Amino acid sequence: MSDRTVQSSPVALPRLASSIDVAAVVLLALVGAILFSLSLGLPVAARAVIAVPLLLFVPGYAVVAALYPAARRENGTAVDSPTAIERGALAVGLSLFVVPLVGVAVDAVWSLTLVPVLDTVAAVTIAAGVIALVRRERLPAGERFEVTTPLRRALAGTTERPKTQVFLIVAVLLSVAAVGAGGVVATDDSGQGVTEFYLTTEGPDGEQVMATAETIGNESVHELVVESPARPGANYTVVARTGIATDRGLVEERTLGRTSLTLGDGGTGTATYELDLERGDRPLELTYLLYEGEPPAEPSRENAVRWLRVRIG
Amino acid sequence: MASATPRDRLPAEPDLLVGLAGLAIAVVLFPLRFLSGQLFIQVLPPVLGLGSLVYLVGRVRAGEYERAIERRRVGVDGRVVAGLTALGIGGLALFGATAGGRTTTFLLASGLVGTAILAQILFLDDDALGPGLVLGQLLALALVVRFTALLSTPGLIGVDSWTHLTDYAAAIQTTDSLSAIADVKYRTAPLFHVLVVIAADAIGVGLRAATYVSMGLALPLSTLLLYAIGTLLFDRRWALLAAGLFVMADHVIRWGVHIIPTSMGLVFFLGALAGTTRLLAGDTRRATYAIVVAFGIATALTHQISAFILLVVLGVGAVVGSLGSVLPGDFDRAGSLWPVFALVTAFVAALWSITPYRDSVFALELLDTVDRAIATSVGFLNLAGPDPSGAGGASSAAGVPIDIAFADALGFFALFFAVVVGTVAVFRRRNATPATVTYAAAAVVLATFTFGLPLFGFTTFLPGRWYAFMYVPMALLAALGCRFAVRRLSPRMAMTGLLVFALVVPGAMAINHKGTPDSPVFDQEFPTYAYDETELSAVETVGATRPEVADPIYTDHPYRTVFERSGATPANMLAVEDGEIVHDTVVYRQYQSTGAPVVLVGNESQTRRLAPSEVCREDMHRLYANGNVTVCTGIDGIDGA
Repeated sequence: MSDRTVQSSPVALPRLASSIDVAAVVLLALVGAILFSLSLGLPVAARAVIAVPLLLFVPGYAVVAALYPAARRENGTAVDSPTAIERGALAVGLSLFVVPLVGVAVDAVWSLTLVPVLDTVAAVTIAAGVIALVRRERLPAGERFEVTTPLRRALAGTTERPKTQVFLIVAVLLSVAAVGAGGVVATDDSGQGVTEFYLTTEGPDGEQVMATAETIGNESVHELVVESPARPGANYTVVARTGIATDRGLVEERTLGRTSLTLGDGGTGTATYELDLERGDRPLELTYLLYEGEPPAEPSRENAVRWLRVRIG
Repeated sequence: MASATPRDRLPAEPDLLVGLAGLAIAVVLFPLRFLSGQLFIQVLPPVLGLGSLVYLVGRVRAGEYERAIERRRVGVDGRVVAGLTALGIGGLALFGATAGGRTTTFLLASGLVGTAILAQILFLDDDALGPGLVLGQLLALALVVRFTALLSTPGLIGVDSWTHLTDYAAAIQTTDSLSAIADVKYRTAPLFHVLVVIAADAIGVGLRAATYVSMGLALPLSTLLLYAIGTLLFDRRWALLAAGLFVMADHVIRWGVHIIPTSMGLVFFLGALAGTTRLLAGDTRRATYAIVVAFGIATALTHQISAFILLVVLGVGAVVGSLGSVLPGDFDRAGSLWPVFALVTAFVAALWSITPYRDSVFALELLDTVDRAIATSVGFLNLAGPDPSGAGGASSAAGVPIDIAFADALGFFALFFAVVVGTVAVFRRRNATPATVTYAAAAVVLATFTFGLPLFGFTTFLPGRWYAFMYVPMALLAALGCRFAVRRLSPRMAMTGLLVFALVVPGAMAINHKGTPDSPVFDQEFPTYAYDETELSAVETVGATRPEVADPIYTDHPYRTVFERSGATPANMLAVEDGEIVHDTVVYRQYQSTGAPVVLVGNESQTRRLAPSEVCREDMHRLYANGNVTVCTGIDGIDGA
């Protein structure tokens, strides 16, 4: 049966070729709205596969289809209707407009929550899709936009030179695999992470805050915090040393104490020093040295993994 | 005998007049180089003159080489070349991921892949050139270049992105309501934030990932809009070239990695111009008017500067349409832009009159700002300095060695050269259409806002934001310029010129600092607007442990912006006074000793590297350390509760 025969058929239902694109986006919008309404607890990847076309393509495509039902120029115009590529591009742009605009409208009458937004987006898509189908049906069959036409044109010639065709397909597949692998590598966060070492004291409201000049003194409680979220259970040692700061550097250095700590499940551990320093030569410098595991025999800033310092005048 | 119309009285060859005018303007502007050392003032007039001269030479010898190069195109199978390029793009993605981001080698390699694509467009014969294949390569390269930056950078890239995501979008998400941003100017321009929140809720990821999956994908895809515009202006080869030049352009990459409302505004701008081009081509269906108005409203509801730029272009188009009778090109069939211009202007004006801004509304504040700018800062060669916020600044930052500044801007200069040739070519009677003439006029007007007004110290319209929008007409005109070269210059000259163009533009654009905020190639001159995990952990911990009422901390720009904009704690720029840094609480990071940190010296922002001991002095408390970042407080400090 020739195309012509089908096009002149009196059947009232839209012909498949001239409605399959619109039917597909309407179906996608419906499925998306239903799936998200049901709160099925889908994994992120599945949600992304459904949500991305729903947000970036589907409603815009339906609107473009409603605006331009014809394949080529219509009465009174000097320019052909948008091509398939232009329709796709406009669909992305219009979807970016429609989806958040629906969000704004939903916010005005309800609250900005996902289900009502996606339901409304689906409603807009269905309405635009129906308009598109009706407008296409009003055109002579040969003038309607049919997504299969550009697809057929794009696929034409792919059977020529099968070796180069195979090469292209293999190259694209390899490239896609490489891009995917690159994405996995780039998003891999299985490294050692960050180890933070800091000093907190009791703030004015009783909470622990990063120490300030006012909260450091002869009689203060220093809480030393080690945070390394990637290393729960790791063992550290904090060594506290004092010395008197002079023009020649620190003199009379001595170790005040050492504390072992093990990071908890969240990768955090604390060591507390209650200072009650005697009056004497000043300024006094207090250094906290952090070591992974046991400290060396002669602890110093140079061999510590982290170190902090307070001066008490 | 019928009387002559104004168009009949036009010179027979208006393009020659325009070419001569270009030469004359170049000669007039040339002495400016003796008044200012600013790079663009030094380079643009000679490029303008050279471009005009090349056009005139090509025209004078017209016919001698007519389309000779088109007979020399390469007839290899386009699928083989596309397959090889696809392998290159895959390799690039793997390399970027294993290298940990966009290194200099990565950027140069991406330029080479870009060259391979441009070479296909320019040199493959018609049978071998498949638009679908080339567009696929362009989109794949664009995605790899942008997502290598996005995925390998912890946190966000840029300055404003922190405010838009961690402040505005987060507040909307938390409260499920737009009332959370009721007191900022985005109350009436919330589309970007709403989209990001909807995407985050739908996919079940954070706001950062949602932004990348939504706008991060949409931006490269919007290149198809430029291709669509191109197909309405000339044949597919040149539409592909325009799309390629656009997607590889530095500022276009910039808004693809620093994703904020400007990025969305750029997509809507392209959509509006796609509709506008249809109108100008004679597609006067109501649907086409609706497309332009819809994208105009969308732009207004997204970003104020983008809306202003769109209004400028629509206004230019409307005026050009009104002058159609005295311009080359058949304007009789073109749709008028006045209705859409009036409608979008009315919408924007109404919107801005209810947009909260500072203590007033946006419309009044804008008028007031313009008024003040005219009164205070206007003066010839009162050049705008670099803006630490990254928003303004007409060109390269002050203090950058001229050779580095030149290398950084080389891509723009090469594009500008092709644009000059293309702009003059538009005025040849056979090339002139309402759309091409409108784009030529729009390019001139946008360039005036971008380069002309800053010459007078007028930076109120944030010229740095205009580049990406200006690249739309520029890419189209550059494609026209290349078409002229192919058709009018000697095959040897055209082949050499186009080869150099295809070699220079992708690589030079790839390394420009505006397109590489995450990893500038000239990292000793241009700040890096991205942070590693240690730097972000410090921001989080400092924010969580500082007393609620505390004086600001001091650190370099741009690091201070993350503290401020993520809501961690108030932060100011480090200030060097009499060679010393004297602040209560300072934050040092190694970048301050190795990169391009910006600090205040006197009252001026300067790039200046600092020793660790200059920032965290020996006589200060050292209260935080993570191997990269340290926080120090003065012994006699005054902050805290």
